[in-house]
Amino acid sequence: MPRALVLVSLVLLLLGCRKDERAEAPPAAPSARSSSTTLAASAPSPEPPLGDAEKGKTLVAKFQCNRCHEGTGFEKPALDQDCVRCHQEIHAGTYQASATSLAKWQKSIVHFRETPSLANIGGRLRRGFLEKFLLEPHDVRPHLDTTMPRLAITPEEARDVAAWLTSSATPAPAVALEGASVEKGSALFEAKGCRQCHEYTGAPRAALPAGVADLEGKGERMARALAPDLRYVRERMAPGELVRWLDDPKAQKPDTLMPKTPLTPDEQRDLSAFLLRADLAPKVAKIIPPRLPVLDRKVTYDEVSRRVFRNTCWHCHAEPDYAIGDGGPGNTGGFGYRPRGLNLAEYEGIQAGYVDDKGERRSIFSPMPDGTPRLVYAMLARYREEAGQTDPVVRGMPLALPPVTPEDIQLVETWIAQGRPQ
Amino acid sequence: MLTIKGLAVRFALGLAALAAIPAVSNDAAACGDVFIPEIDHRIQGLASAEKTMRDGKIVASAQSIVRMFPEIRSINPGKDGMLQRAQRTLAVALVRTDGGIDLDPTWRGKTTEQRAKNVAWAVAALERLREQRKNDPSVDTDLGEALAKVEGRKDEARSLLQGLADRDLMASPQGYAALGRLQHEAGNTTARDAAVQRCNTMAKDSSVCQVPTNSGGQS
Repeated sequence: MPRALVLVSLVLLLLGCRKDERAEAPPAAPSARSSSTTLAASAPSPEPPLGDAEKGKTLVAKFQCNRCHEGTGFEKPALDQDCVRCHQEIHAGTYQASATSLAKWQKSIVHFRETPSLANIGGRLRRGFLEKFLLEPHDVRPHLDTTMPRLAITPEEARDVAAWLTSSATPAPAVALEGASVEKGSALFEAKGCRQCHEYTGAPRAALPAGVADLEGKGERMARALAPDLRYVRERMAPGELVRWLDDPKAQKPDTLMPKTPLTPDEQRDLSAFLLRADLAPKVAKIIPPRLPVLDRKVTYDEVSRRVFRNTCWHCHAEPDYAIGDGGPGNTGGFGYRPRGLNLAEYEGIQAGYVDDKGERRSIFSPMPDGTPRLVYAMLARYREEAGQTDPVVRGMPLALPPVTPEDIQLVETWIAQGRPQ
Repeated sequence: MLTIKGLAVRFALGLAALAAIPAVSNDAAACGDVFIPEIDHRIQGLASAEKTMRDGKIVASAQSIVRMFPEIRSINPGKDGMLQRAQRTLAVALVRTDGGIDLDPTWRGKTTEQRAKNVAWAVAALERLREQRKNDPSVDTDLGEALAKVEGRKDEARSLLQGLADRDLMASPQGYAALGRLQHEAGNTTARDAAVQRCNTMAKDSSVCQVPTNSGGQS
């Protein structure tokens, strides 16, 4: 069975194989005020110095960006290394497996079914944004439950990768938005039904025009999943690139699901002004749920394995032979991560710890400075990451996936407190 | 280095694997629970044997390994992960039964000699595995448990197992139990009691944690 199934983490892959049902803080009341004069607040910072694109190309290979993304400048990997394509083929019924297996997998595989293509990304996104995003990835697609993982990447490497990804782009003609109307842009946003796919958090909630169905909870899964939250447009795009994109998305990215919307040049500028300059309510950080106390009932390995280790962790932390491929980024390495030799698929493997940066074996139950077992600390760190509190020491787990539920963390913590019984 | 016999064994196993392809499982799982591949049924069988071992059915586990890998006794797994796991599981089973398993008509575990020979085979298999999997505490734990059964190597076993315990990397309750027995024999009752306590918290069946006490009984 292909390794890609195993990897669901990665960047991959980790999987909880379940929907993210976390509560999110209610958004602050959006500002009703729009202004065409609030340029200062939205003015993008200048592009950083250009990195070394050739080094960036080497780094893109090192980080194996092509295992999740198209448009990296590298060929698609083999199917057993291609997390997304493997999952897509399973859901399409074209993967070579029995009907019984396909039906079973189709029910359980939730993550890594869609990832954005990087084709001509430099023709759309600002290089400075890419550089920053590589260092501090955050959720820009509210309908996509996977996110870009925190890579083991240095600032210099991020600069070089951004240089490579944008190296072949043709800059768009500069566009001045003076005179463009945020108010008219807002009306266009609503009239054109942009909200069918896009969120625009912080802006007043747009209504859908009459006759346009709200897709929420219905089909068009991929289009909605890949549609960015438009509050980040002002970080991601310059006015020229935005207007060019609105004019003909497929001319910039042939595989995009964004339709070409009939807009006059003035309407393109108005809509751009709305996306780049509308007053936005402050961003609301995701809530970090309270840590639950340990349970007062017996918790066995079978239970914690079924609910956590084999439901989520093992996709990136397993023995290679067990996974019929590599052991995942958390075991044999990959995606730029060094091999950690951590096997969370089996009791003995879990007890056997991981390989630290010095090559020494260490227990995953060793206490962190606050006394929390390292394994639990990593799971809690994922919540903090999502709330914008990146931990410099421990990468939040599961990588790039929704956090483990507080109840499941409680289960793991209870099991550890009870001496990790079989 | 592979011998001609070894090559022949691998070839035979390869043919067996190919022959198994048409009879693939229809109940493979990729996500959500156990990962069970479709092609080589031995992967699933091996996982089942390992679980059987964890459940304490040692003889059944060993016998299933030999049924799936009839040449397991003479194989050098090299870097083949599946064969490594198969041989390791069998070795641990032999250690935990003091070599007392009848595996096939030519591989008995009745007499003292046969049992000693079986334990020696297990130790050799685990030492070979350790060469391939350096810095793997789960292999070290199994090897320490095995060495604890060999006269003349108990000091080595105690040092290996205590080192794992000190770093909280002991992979099995049986490893703690072996350490407890070794520390008892060395007269270190504090270390013995600590090991037994850890064994009891980990083990599904606390009978694996029985260690002699100063009063002559079992902990």
